[in-house]
Amino acid sequence: MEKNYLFKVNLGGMIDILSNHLYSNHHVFVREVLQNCVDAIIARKNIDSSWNEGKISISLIEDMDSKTIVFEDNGIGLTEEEIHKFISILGESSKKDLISGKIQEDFIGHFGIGLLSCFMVSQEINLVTRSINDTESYHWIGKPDGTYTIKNLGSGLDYGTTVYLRFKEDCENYYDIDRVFRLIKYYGSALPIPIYLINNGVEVRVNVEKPIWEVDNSDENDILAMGQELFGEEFIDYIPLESKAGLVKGYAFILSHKVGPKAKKSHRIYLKNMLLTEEVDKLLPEWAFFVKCVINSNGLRPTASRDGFYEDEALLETQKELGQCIVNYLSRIATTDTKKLSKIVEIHDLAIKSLVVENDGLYKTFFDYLLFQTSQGIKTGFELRTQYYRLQYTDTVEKFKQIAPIFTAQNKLLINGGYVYITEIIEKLPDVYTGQWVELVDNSDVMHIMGELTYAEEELSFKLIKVANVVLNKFKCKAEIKHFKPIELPVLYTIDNDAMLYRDLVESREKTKDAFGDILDGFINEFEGNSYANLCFNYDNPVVQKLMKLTDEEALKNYITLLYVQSLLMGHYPLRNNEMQLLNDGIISLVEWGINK
Amino acid sequence: MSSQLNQLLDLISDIPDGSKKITMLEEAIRLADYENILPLQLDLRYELIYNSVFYGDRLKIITTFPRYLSLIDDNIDKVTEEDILHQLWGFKYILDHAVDFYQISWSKINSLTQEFKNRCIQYGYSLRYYYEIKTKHNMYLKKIDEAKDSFDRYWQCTKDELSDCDACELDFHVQYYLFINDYELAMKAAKPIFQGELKCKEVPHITYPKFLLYYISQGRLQESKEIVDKSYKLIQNNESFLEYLEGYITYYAMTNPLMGIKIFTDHLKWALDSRNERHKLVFFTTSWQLWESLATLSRKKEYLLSLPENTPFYSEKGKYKIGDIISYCKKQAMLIAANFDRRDGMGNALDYINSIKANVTNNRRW
Repeated sequence: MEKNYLFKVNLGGMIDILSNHLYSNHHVFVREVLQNCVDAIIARKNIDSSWNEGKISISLIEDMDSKTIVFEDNGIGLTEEEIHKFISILGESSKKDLISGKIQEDFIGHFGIGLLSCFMVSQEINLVTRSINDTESYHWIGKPDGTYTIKNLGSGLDYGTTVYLRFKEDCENYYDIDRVFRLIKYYGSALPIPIYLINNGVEVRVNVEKPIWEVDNSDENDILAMGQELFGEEFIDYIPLESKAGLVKGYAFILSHKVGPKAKKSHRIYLKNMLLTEEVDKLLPEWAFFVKCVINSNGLRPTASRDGFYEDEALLETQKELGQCIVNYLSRIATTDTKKLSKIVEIHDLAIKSLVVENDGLYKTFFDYLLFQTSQGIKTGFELRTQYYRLQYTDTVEKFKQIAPIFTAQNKLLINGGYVYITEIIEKLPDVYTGQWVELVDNSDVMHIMGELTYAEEELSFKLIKVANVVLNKFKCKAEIKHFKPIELPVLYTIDNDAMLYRDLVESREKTKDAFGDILDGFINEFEGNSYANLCFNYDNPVVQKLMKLTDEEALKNYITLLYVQSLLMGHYPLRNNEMQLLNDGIISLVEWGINK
Repeated sequence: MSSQLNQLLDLISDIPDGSKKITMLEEAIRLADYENILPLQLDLRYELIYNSVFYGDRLKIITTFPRYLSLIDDNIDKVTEEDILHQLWGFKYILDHAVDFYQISWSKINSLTQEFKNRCIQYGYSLRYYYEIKTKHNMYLKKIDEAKDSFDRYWQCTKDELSDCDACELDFHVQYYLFINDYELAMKAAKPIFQGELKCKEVPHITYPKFLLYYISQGRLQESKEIVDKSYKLIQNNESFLEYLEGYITYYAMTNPLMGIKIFTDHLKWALDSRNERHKLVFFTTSWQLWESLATLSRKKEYLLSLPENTPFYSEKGKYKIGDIISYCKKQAMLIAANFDRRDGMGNALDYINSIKANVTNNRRW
């Protein structure tokens, strides 16, 4: 016969998980309790709209053997039935509408687990409450093992709820008035209910009358000063942010120092005026890493841990709208304040380049201000498009370093496209500015800017190139000779992508154990015979001049191999086994040749 | 460490993961090898493999892994536990993508898979992923009973640090259930993904296209449209998703070939630059059918297109004959398919081409 059973839940274990492992740090208990206070006051106001005396008070109490923090609100309070239902059942929340089960929009809390965060800092939670619908008041004591008691305190207490948290031994560092002040300010500075910290009988208001996003933005110095106070640093400028999708308002402050896209973000993200988190993915576009934001949302859905928002359509739409606010600002200053724009581009070069790559519409706005490394020094986008009709670029830094000296010596421009986003930006240029020509440099282009030899010169170099081709063939490398500068450079080794891949494959195969190196064989076979590197001798180089006159073929072979290996080393190409052997043999032969001469 | 390498490492740490990072990592590896700095040789290779998985055509996984493996094996007394775990993750990545390259024979794939299993046992890791990849390989080879068996064994293994993330595992379940044609189970498995509860770098991006292909194969175009509208934006900017364009191009070939042209022109460069043969097979097969549809639908013989400069039939004026495009795509698809069928010893790839052709022909809505 089939029987039905009920799961048993280890309540203590559940509470431990929720309170100690759900939240990212201990001090979020301040946020969770404040949130309950605010929601209780809003609930009371919803019943009596003429009532405007909502207030939250926080104080510290020390007695002989304990230190306690007290949160007091004069909100709606709880009846005994509500205590059983909402405080004592995990996942139940008094903020749910009893009929529909939905959470009222003006409440911050949702899940019915927030109070549990208090167990991170306290061994028990003491809560004294009186509902506006009841004459009696109650004292509830909750313990982390899942048990609780309720005591009727009779009548006479004011409406509202007071939470007492007696700090655990290892959490007593929270018993510090300055620290508590900072934490309350951190989480609650923007809350619409006055919050007071009571110290030695003196009440100090912690939060401001109006949060920054509700301040009239007509005085830009005020906004910048508020940003500076909030984040403790200076900013270049600020950008008003607004999103209809997420009901978001706030400001983005432009950092006055360079940051990378992976730098730790430290925004201030508020949910219904309560600080939610400092870092949240997807709220801003990835390229917007050059700003710090203070944002309040009344429309996005928080996750249960309250470390972020659900990645739903509203969040994605909000990201789009906030990104557009930043784009609009940058486009505006491109016409009204080019000096500021130059400064922003100079500091946040990487961010702007990433923005330009992602956003076709902004290309024209920013291209002129971008900076590019070239064979003729740093050039602005404006210089590139107005002074050169043909732009050549490399796709790797290494390639740029190898061939830039040749371009410099010939007074030709070569752009280093090896850095992130440059290639994409350069390639887009002809689509935006007609008449511009851009070209990825390949080996033939490098050869093209070198000077051709006369027939007489070719005759003189014939033997050198013939021997070189024989020597280098086993390395899949062809030899050529040209005139090029600088003349100090005897040879230039160039390799295209296919040949480079082939070289990597062979090298990897040689240095790999047989068992798995053989997965490369199929690829090596495909490239075999199709991919050649190039070693170009410099006709004007004095050593090459001497080699052309060398009659001893063995010595010539040795010199060629040494020049080949040297060019690889100069280009930081790891030597394959046979190239290393070649280097050793070449040196020994030369030594012998010198001794025997 | 040389200042050049140091500078390059600074640059690498500053830029986001992506295809450009792959090039820079390769340069840094060359320098690290040249300077013989083992920790860097390992870390950079692992980062290269990782970036190639999520932002590249995956060839770099294949070309980098053997040397990475031997560097660790040859220096086993110097490497850390993390290096060993990374090595096993490297194994996972290569096993996941080796089938994409016809240049790697099944005997080599199988010996790699066996070696991965041995090492999991040796280092005390669960065989969960081993059975996952066995299931995937069996699905690829259309071995239904073997796939069922390995999928059952997969469930019997515990999760550990070597297992895929929860989202990727669910995506694998979806793939399996659709393979055995159990749509209800596939939908059930996908629920947390579609509700946004589980996600990662690749999920739901690669989950939607799986359903899209299923709907297309069933002629359910309304559901297909919903997926196309919702999910193309997830994959359109990352070339590692080249293979997943398959459903989108096929959908437009069936419903509105003119709309499909934009996908073709936007992503042709990915296919031309890619060395991932299976991804290319998918792109050229579906593109071929797209242009065939257009040829049937319209009398227009020439189109003005903005195609990449490395297009083999590139035209400076941007005018392209529809016949040239069809002929190129067809040639590429057939050539690659023949190579796969040779490697696999079966007509899988040709069957694939025929199934796409049949789907488009049988479900045209214009």
